[in-house]
Amino acid sequence: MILNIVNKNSRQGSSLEDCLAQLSPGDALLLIEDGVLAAVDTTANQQWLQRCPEDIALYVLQDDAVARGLEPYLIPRFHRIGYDEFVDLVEQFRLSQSWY
Amino acid sequence: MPTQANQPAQSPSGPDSNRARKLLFRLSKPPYGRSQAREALDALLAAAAFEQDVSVLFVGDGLYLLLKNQQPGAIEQKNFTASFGLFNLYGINQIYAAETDLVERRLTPDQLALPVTVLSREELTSLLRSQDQILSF
Repeated sequence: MILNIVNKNSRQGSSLEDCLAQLSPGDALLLIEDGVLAAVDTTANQQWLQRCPEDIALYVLQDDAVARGLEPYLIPRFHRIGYDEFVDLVEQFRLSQSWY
Repeated sequence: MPTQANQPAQSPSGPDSNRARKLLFRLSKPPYGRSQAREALDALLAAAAFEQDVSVLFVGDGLYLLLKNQQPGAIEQKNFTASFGLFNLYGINQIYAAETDLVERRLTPDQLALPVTVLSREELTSLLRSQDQILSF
């Protein structure tokens, strides 16, 4: 099981799409930096989310959402976590994989 | 333009040298992840200080630059929207946003930190065509 960390949204390259293609049951997906834009409630984001398997835990780094004023607009399916929980997640998963 | 390729370059002391050039700054990237937006702001304020005819167009994810309630202190960065106060001081009042891109992001003008003129696709095209130069960030 792998913690996948994505720091771009789908308009800034293929990292999110590449990650989606790779996700396996039990994996987690964490959006950080500009990646938080992919958790905003828009039609485009609902579309990629539909292609994301149900059993993938979804996280968004709260501080990056707050910084951008996006916190009120996040899709509820994402768990909002802070840096401490980010560290916990990294600890909890044997492997982390960053997507640029 | 190809038709002007053989024309001599306009002399700096030519008749048009005192005319303010129409410069459009097109901002299409979101804040904080990269430095483009900050660089655009520096460039457009500089252009305005030199009394150029500056327009600012927000498109795509660049619309997120305008969002109210940004708190970039959370990631130890400066607030981008704080710079909007300078627009008035520099005489920058031609500020536009693309309607289709707003709709796509479910954003409405009341969610934005700056009053913008919302442009349809056709209006956007004519704005772009009326410029001397388009600078994309």
